Amino acid sequence: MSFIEIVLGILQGADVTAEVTFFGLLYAVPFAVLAGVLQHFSTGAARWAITALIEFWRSTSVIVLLYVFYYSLPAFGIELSAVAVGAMVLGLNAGAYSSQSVRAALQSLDRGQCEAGLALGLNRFAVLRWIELPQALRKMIPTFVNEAIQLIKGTALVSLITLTDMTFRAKQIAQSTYDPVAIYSGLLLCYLMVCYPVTLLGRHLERSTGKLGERVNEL
Amino acid sequence: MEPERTERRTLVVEFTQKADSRAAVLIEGVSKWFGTFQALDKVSLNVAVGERLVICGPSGSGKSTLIRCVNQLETHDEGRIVVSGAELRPGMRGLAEVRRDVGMVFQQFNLFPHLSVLDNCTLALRRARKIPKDAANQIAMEKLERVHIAEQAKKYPRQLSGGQQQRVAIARALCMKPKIMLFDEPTSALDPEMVKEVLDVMTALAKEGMTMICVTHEMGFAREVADRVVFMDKGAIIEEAAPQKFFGNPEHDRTKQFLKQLLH
Amino acid sequence: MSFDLAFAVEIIPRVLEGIGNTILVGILSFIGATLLGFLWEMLRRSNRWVRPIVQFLVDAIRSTPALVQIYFLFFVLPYYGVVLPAILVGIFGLSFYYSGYISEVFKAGIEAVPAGQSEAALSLGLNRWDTVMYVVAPQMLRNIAAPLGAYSIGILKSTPLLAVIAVPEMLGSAFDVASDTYRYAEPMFIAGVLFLLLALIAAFLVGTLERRLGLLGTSH
Ligand SMILES: Nc1ncnc2c1ncn2[C@@H]1O[C@H](COP(=O)(O)OP(=O)(O)OP(=O)(O)O)[C@@H](O)[C@H]1O
Ligand SMILES: [Mg+2]
Repeated sequence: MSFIEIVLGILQGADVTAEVTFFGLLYAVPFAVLAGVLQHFSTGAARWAITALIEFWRSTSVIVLLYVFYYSLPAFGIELSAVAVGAMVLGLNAGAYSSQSVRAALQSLDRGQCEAGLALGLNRFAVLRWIELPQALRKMIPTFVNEAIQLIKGTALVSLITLTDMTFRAKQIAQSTYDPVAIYSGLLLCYLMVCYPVTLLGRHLERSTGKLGERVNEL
Repeated sequence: MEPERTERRTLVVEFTQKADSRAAVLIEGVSKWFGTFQALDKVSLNVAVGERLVICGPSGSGKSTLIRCVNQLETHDEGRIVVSGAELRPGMRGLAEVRRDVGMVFQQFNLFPHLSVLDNCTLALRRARKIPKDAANQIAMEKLERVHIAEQAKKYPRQLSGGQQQRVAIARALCMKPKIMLFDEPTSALDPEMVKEVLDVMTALAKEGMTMICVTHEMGFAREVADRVVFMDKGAIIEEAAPQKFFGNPEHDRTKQFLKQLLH
Repeated sequence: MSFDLAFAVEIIPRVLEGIGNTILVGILSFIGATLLGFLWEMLRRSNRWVRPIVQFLVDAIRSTPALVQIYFLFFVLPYYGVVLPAILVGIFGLSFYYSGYISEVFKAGIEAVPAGQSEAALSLGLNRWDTVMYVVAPQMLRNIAAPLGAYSIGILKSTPLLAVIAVPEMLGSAFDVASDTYRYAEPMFIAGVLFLLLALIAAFLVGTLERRLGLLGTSH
């Protein structure tokens, strides 16, 4: 098999990689915004509960959790498809990390912004929806981009729970062809093609939304 | 210059007395604590419809706290506050409606940086008053013209000077057609050369009969515009008088001391 | 097949057999990643021909999955005749993957030291190396303590990746139990609980350590 054939073979798994990424984002973004907002506004027991939920997703190891959900949940009567398990575990993990920057961005907003909105007669929800969230989400775009990369890369793990993504295809090819250099370089290349542009985008966004005018140490 | 102003003064005093029966703001025995620190100590103050009130006093005397109680950005712990007929209570329903009748201008402008000047002005019209976009834009442009900044409507706040930003903030508040305007040191954060453009807008507003409560140390403005000046110290109102009396012949030593400091 | 709690409790000691390797791999990988990350950052700052190459390397490391990098090392090295114990390959893999992130931590930490500091040192006649070692690095330490601590936990949570190349760490032990008993639910569940506890304890220890060393708080 030529290198090109190997790469094309690997790319047959791109649809599963894309599918898990897409559904993962569907979990990640709403969870990040909801959890960040709730953590920012809640107090007492409610805050404790939402913090515990976020910390659970931040403190667990994705790979271990994939196995737990895939193998252990059915024993409790919860049957989820492998795609659902992959998307949920990867998505909520990325979402939990992002929720912390949603909360931080909300906290770092000037109190005057909320006060000005209230003084105009907007209710608290309208202030959140039209004044605070637009500003907070703008600050968080770099974080979201970086978490999206984590999510895409994380999808390689779903090959371990039988999904036929790019990594799974590579291992399949490796069973019939002994050419590890070509197969695994090809696999690295496939992920690189998807993630490298996003990494550069994230780097650019971080720089352009970062503190302008602050000089870089010239060492 | 002098006679003209005295004339206007008499007119205003008559008007104020007539209007007294329907107070715009009624404050009775209001106290407020931050933890154990008492920021307001049994403050009572009535503001008539059409009246222009200036509040001054040293830093930390509770001026901001008092006017922020009027639109409940701070809640009071004791006493009564009635704003255009509605008594304000912590966590009350309909607070947003009351606030739409009370415009506020902040020391730090607090414009929304993610919105253009025009959108800053229309946000509350559209989201709180549910006015369609075109109509809201029209109202906003009218108010922006009134503060002489209509040509900047498409710009973003950070592209404007401090004085321009503060005039936008005034226009934004006026868009809601408030019955009362609150100003909390609107010129303190401005470079000296920009103070006048903001004070001019405020003076024009006063001449149109707007009910205004202004925390400010701009004594020229107070002399020209105020019907009454209130002096606060340590959370209490120490002295209140017409500007002529207040500046010419204050009763309390604290007031005299304060005015002397201001002049130096 | 329903969940057998008694069986789950019974297998805890067997799953725990791998914890020593988990911790060992975690610590060694963290050290390796920190050293490599520092090396990348120093190379990136060395000269303008090396800089774009190292920059691409760092971005490439961050743009490919850790799992795939580990597979690459594990299958490609023997092809060239380099046969290493799986645990070493795993430690190299994790060190390499995380070095991409840690180099960014060093970068941000250095950039957060005001430019005037290095300018002052250079104008006193210190060379670049001394300026880094005696002026910038001590100030940088405060900036990097918290993110480095976070990555140390991240590395610990990534150690179960090595199970896929048969390193006998804790997830590997759980798999051993599973294949011996033909039951997956309980061993995986126990592994999940144990890894969660381990991560929480580690986070607590790292936080305590940073506070003890007075490295937190006053960086800005
Ligand atoms: N949120 C708060 N928490 C605790 N104390 C507060 C708070 N807001 C105000 N204070 C205190 O209440 C007192 C009155 O504050 P206030 O802002 O009303 O003063 P001010 O007269 O407006 O002063 P300035 O001229 O400096 O604006 C001050 O001593 C201040 O420290
Ligand atoms: Mg004040």
